[in-house]
Amino acid sequence: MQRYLLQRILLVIPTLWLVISMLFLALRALPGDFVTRKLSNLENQGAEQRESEIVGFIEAEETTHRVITGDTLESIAAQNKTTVSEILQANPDLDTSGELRPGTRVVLIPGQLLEKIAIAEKVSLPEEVDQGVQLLIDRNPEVDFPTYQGQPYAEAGSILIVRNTLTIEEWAHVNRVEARDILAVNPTGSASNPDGTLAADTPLIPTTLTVAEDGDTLEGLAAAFGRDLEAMTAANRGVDPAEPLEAGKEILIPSDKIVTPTTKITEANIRHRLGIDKPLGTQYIDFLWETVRLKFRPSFQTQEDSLDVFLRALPRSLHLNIYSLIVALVVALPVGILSAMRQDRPLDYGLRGFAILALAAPSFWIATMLIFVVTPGGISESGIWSIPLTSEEARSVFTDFTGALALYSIPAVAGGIAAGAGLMRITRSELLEVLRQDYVRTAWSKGLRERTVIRRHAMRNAMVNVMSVLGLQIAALVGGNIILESLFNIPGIGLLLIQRIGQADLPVVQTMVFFFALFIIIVNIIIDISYAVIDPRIRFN
Amino acid sequence: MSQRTGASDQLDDFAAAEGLRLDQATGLRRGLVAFRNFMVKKRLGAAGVLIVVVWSLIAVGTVGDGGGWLGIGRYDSRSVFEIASVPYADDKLANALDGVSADASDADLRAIVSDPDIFGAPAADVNVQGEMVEYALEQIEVGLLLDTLIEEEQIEIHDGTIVDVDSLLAAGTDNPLITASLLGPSGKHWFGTDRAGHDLFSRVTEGARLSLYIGFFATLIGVFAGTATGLVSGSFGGSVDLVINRILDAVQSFPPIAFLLLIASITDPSALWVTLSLSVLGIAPTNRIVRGSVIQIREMPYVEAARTIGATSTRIMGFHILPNIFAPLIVIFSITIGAFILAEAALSFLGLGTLDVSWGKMIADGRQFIVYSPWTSLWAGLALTSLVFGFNVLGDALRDVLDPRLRGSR
Repeated sequence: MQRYLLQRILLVIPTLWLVISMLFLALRALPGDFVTRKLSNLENQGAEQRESEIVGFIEAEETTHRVITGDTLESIAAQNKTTVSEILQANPDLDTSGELRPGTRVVLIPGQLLEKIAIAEKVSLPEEVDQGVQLLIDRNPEVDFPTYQGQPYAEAGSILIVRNTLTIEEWAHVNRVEARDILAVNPTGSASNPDGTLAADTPLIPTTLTVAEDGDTLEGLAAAFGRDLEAMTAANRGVDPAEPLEAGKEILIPSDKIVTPTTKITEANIRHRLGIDKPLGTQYIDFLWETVRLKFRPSFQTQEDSLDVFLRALPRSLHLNIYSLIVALVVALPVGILSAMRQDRPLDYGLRGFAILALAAPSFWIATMLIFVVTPGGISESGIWSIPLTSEEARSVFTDFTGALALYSIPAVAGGIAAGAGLMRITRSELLEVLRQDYVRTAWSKGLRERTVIRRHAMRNAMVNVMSVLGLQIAALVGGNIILESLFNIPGIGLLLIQRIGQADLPVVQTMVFFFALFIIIVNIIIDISYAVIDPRIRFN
Repeated sequence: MSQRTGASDQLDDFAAAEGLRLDQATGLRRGLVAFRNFMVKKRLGAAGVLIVVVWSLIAVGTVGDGGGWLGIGRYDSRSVFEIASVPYADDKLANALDGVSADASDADLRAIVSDPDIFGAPAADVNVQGEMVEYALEQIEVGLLLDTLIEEEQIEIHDGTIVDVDSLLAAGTDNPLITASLLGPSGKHWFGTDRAGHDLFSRVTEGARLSLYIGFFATLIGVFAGTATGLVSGSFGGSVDLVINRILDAVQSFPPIAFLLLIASITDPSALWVTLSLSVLGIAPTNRIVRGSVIQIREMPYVEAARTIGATSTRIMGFHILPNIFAPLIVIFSITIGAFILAEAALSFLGLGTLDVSWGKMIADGRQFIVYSPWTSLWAGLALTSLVFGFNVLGDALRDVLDPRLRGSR
């Protein structure tokens, strides 16, 4: 038995490795990946590609909306506080003859609002956004800013100077950290103050790394990179300028001009920032190693930890799935038993017919029609269900049972019906099998009541296979019920997955799919092992 | 039976003695008899056959323009219908009523609106004057004509006289026709119309084509590939078996819908890609069942006999094993096809399917207007359910007849 267990568990390793590799390959094959999409956006707007050295500049992009299923021009206009005619004006090529095709990019503003730039580029604190807008206007006197509904915006393709210089103090302010904390973790002296502590108003000096080779000296490197020797020594304290460096030592090269963190969009820049500039092989090894340590990269889109993003969405999906399973069980077991007890009577035919129909009907259609039947007009004008998801309400689901019932009843019924129909059929056929056994006949002949025979003698034995099917259904549900979630606007893992795939946010997609696969593998092992425990013959097969 | 002496007959007898089915003994008559028996004994299965045949005919019949070469769809699924515009009629009515006393009797109003010419030349051009007169008379009948016009800001009442107002807010007053969107079922449009003014009946019938096309070919490719891997891994066993099964395990570890989403996001929205990605999902289940059957069959004496006379492994797989796993294959095929049709609809519903007319997309479109008009979603869903129902009951019946061992596997 132990040997079988060990064998079974060891087999997971190659499977998991294959899963990870396939995932890696599939995601790297994305032709429209994050970088290409970003760049093609820029090219479409006729932006010129510049050297990444120039910093403190930003390309204004168009403000667009990506159409998802169900969007109409009216809904987009309402969401973005604009009007349909303005959208049509900004999108002369938009095909409005039929429904909007999901994935289409609709231009909302032919540029970027200055307040959006000010916030994104941290020109000022978010609450001082007016000041940030003013700063942007002051720093770009040669640029004309048209207005959109009273708000100034930069036209797509225009290049703005975000800032000329930046001191540690300013940087700390807009990033909501303390200047002294930055100084504490960056004890690099400056050219003007080689010995020691930086003043908080020192301009930031970015550095690049280089790896010393045999025979290099600091002097040699300074000459090779065209840098001031003094600055080099300051950046690499404790290194004798004249002494030859040991090979492999990392040397900091200070920049020859004062720059701020780059915001210029070039392919190399973005690739570097996202860590996808290395050769594919290296990336693959890194990816494997990170996955083994359960360390996941931050999201491309929001820079959050991928695991956090995943875990935040998980509870909502679990709610939906658990309620669906409850509905499925509550429907399936009694109905299945009833149907088996009245085999080949009208009731049995009716219930079986219903089960086959329920299996054939797609859950999203059942849900759509349920919305119509149960609450016509009661949900919202456009018939779109929405679940309130402020943090209190999300938490109240644990404490407030009736509240949860109101929120999840219809989604759970829609999801539970199909699963319940499958379970019911299994329950019925398993029970019929058991009811034919000799010991059940014995129980009948003893004169036991029907209820006792079914509950004590038949059901116990029939449940074994029912449970294994249930296990498979649980495994199937981890994918998040993508369809129901998007239908009912439940921001669970399914909806998250769709969104992140659309945004080509590789780390989050990788993390999620990895956990799905892991879960399914584990469930499969549990099922296998439980079979082996129940039926010892399997072990030797 | 004892009279037969031919070599093949002996083999048949041998096979019968070994308890093997004689399914491979073919001939048109035998097939017809089997089909008739099936239709008589399995009523639900027969209903499934009927449903599938009807939908297949519809799918074939709607190929081509204008409702298809058989005219089944009645209209072209892309033609947009138009009806008389109520705002236009209201505007013209307001013009006609300008200066009339506000407490004019119904008879007076009727006299005014009964003249088709008040609706102007544009309405006459497209021949909707009659409809507009009818509409106006109806409004007078229920006594709401003036109220409606006031509410629509077409008229105002000053000093007991009706005054025509040219409201800026009244849209659509310059065209006597508007798109016939979200109409209910009628004689002209049996199933009603969708938001864009398409005839739903022609869309629903045309949707059958995509569902059947993708369902059939995805299943065909998936079952074919799964059979190939199952045959190979079952026949050879050992490390080949191990490698194939690890790979298929890994494929199966992805949640199917997540897999489909990934593929859909990196490929063009074409029927080909949807078909191929679905077919990948069909490989692993087919492989499992075929491999199980092959492992049983390969120990049979006749396979051993073939091996002893020096048959190559390809020959054994093709001539001795494959014909004997045909029954489970047919069952897998009919069950999988229903599931794939549902999966295609789900993809289209999420907006990741093809660009063709699809039931899943129709359900998604109708969802936005479910409160005003449930027809779009209703018909598409019913059509989808009936087709999948047909395949499911057909699969169940085939399974009962051909391979009782698989009962309860779904």
